[in-house]
Amino acid sequence: MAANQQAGAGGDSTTRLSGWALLAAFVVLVAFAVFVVYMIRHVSTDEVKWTRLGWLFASVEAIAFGAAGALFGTSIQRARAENAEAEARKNADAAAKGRALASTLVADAPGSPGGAARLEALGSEQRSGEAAVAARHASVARDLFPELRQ
Amino acid sequence: MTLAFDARAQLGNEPGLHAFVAGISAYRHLPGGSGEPAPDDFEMGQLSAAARSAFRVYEWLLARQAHLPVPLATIRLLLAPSASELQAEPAMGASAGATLSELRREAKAWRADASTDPSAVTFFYFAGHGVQRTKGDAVLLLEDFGDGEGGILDKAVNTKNINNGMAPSPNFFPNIARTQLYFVDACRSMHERFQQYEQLATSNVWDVELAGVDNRRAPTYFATIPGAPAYARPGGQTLFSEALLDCLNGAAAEPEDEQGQDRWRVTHHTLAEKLSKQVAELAGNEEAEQWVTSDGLGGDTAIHYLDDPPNVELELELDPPDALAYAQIAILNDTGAPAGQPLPKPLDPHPFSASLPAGIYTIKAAINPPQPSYVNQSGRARAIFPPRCRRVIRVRP
Repeated sequence: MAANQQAGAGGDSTTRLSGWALLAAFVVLVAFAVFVVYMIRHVSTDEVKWTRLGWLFASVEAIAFGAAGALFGTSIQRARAENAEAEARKNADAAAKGRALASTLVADAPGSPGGAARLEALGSEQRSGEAAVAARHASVARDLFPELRQ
Repeated sequence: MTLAFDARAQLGNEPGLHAFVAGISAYRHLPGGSGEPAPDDFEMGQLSAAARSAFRVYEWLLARQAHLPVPLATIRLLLAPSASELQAEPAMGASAGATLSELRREAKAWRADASTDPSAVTFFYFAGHGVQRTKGDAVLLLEDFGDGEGGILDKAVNTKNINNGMAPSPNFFPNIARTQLYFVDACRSMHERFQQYEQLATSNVWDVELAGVDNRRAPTYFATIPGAPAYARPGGQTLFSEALLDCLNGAAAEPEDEQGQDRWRVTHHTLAEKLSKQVAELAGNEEAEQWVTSDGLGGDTAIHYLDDPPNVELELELDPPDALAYAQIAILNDTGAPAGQPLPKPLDPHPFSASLPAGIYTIKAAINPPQPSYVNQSGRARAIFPPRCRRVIRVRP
């Protein structure tokens, strides 16, 4: 199926029929509609002719459904992709804000006494009150965003 | 196997060095441990470097046994390594654990071994969690700390009890080793919840006899000052053990005259001086603060003898730097012969770093071709001692 890539607003892409493919799908659907009208007009024809028309209709029907699928299916897919993009933009925004918050928590976390953030204390890493809460928050932030451990 | 080294049979009646080395990284009852969680973990968790640090000290004793003041007689090794330490060094698994009962049992055997000759030497090293209850206190937490039995510090011992119990006593240990070394590689910070209690009692390793004269040379080197933490590199070694081994291997060495020859050795006093600087420097490199303190320094005596003079990191700086293009620097040893490779002209980079064996050197500068703005510097013989030395060569008129 002929299709081209069109960039979306967020840089992502969606699939859309265009050019000859679009024209062909449209022509097939119009031809199918004409054929349906023709069939309706010959409802009362003799049995042999109706059977032959029915056989032809079945063939054309398959092509028409394919064209309809291509035409409407891409439209439906595009709508879904656009929704997903919007959702992703929203989530990315939330993630960026979350990362910024986590960075702040880590930056404001109290270091070990003497400032030895990269070292392991051979004893209690006791903190009290606000410092203990800040240290716990920073620990959660590091767990959620391992890149903040550096 | 706690007696990791035993040469008592070979030594016979000869005095020897009896070492007691303990390192605890895996605490059964602290978060992440294998046992029931402690009622209160006092914000302490598993360690990742203490057992390895103790193992390094053990390896050093084995490797340098021929260079100790007396022959190595025994090493008791009590380790509780973390899973990662054990994976990296499976040999650590051969030692016994470091619970209170194991420590008591081995300490008593250690004291008995050290009680046969006053000329013997003892060596105690502990790495693990530590706390303090009062100023000057140092409490060592053992592998089963927080098991819920007894008081909070039931599975902890006080270094003072260990030290005092090793003192000569006329009734029981008149011949105990008079030269004793203690290395305490642990925090000495007080947890604020300790203040809720009237007295937190540690377990005694032994009873201490009051009678007798304590004529030991028995310095205790604490990894940190009272109230302060001690640090380790996660997955590596403690800063104290790194500095200790560095100092013993030469950074704290000084020459001793022996039949007209310099014999390089590390003594109680040189170790106290250099260890403090080395640890402070290592901690400073990590934006931390840690100061070693020493108690009980008496008369000075050797701990370790070196095969050769230790290497010194020498930093040379020319004053003024504008003279670099004209100054040929030469280092002469105490016999007047050039020491090492000729130095480049100009010194590049500047200041210039070189490594040379500790000793007495003369550093000269010759201005070539002669320049009115600069003068030759004939230099004078000066000591270049470990671990580092900086010399400024002035060629100003």
